[in-house]
Parts: sequence; structure tokens; C-alpha cells
Amino acid sequence: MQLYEKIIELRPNLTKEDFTIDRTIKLQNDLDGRGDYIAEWNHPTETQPTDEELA
Amino acid sequence: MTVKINADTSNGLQLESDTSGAIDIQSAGVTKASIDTVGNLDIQGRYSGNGNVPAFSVELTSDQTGISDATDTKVGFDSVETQQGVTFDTTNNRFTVPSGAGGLYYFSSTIQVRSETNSDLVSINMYLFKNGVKNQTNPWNFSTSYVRLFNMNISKILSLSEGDYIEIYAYLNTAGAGSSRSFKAGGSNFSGFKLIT
Repeated sequence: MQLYEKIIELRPNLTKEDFTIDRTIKLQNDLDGRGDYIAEWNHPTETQPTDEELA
Repeated sequence: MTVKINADTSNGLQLESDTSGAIDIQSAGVTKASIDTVGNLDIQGRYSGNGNVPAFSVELTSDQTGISDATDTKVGFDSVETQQGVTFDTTNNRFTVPSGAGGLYYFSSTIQVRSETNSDLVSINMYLFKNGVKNQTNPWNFSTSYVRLFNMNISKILSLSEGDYIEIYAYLNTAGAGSSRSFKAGGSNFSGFKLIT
């Protein structure tokens, strides 16, 4: 499951709009072996999932 | 020593000869341009006679597949078409200004993005990153007329210092949850060269 899908599952109040052009949540992949990660989380109400939740 | 061609403000043309093989072009006795014995031209440090070097052109020769939905993903250019004065870093997928090569640079990149499902790309974006920070974006929003294949372009002139690095990222937002997304070989490239010092 991709990071985006995991986050949506963990925070069902989020929508795709939160991850699109004028997004409050930015996901990134630097091709460095780390994979997808949360680069920015500026959502006004939903808290950023912890590493444990995402594991 | 050099041969000197001087446009003197009192006496007009003045020539000074020697056997160095190098030439200085002067105004009122002050050197404005020089040509060395190799043929390198230096105009008051603004133009270096090695031409537009460093220069590079890289591309994708295999599709970059498995692109995650709604995620800024670095483009992993896997092949160097040509390069001079620099070794493009295909491990970290970036251009880094070599030692002593700071100046104004021109960059251009095209990324061809694709979904394996018709009418699936909702919005896309392309980014030029300078030193890990977004410097230029090119967003597209297809509203209700989603597409399957698209070419995005970015071009930019930047003032760079030794050690600065440039990378290309792209972002795909697809309508289908199970979409397969890719950056396409043959349609994705990145090139750049130094304009002036």
C-alpha cells in the first residue's frame, strides 16, 4: 500500500484535495531508498500520523 | 607579455608587439578583452572562452514505473546523452556545479507522464529543485477532462555557485485508486549549460 493510501486509511477525514496542487500535506520520494515520506504536514485539524501508525 | 591593441583616447590606435602569441584588446590602456595562445577569449571575466561549458543532456531510457499517487517524485535520469565539463550524477540524479564553474546557467527539461488507464490524470506538476528546494513549478489541472498521457516542460536561467545542485521532480494525481503511473522513456530529458560567468 502506498503512503498516500495508508494516510487516507488512518485519517479518513482527509480527501484527495489535501494532497493536490494547493495542498496542506506534501508527500515526496527522493529515489534514495527511503521511499515515500511526509515532507510537509500543515493540515489545520488532522494530526500527522506517527511512524508507528505508518509502519 | 602580450600583443596589445589599444584604442587610446588621445592618440587613437596604438599597437604594442611581442612574441607571446597572446593578445590584449585595450581601451585607453586598460585591457577589456584577452585571447590566450590556446584561443580562449575572456571579456572582462564576463565570458570565458571555453564556450558554454559545463553542459549536459540526460534522459530516461527505461520507463520510471511505480510512481506513487499524489507524491513529488524525483526523476531518475538513467542515461547521459552527452556532457562536457561535468559528470552528471546518475546515482543521485542531479546536476552539481563543478569546482570553479559558478555563473549563469540555462536549464530545460521535459517529462512525459502517463497512466495506464484512460482519462485518469486529474492534475500533474513538474518541479525544478535548486539545492533541495522548489525553484520553479509547472502545474496542470485537467478539471473534468482527465487525460492519460502528457508532456510537461520547464526552462529556467539560474545564477549558481560551485556546489549548487539541480534536480527534476514530477507529481501525478490520478482518479483511479489502482492506477499505474510512470515517467516515460523517450519523452523525458533534462539538459543545461553555462551561459556566462
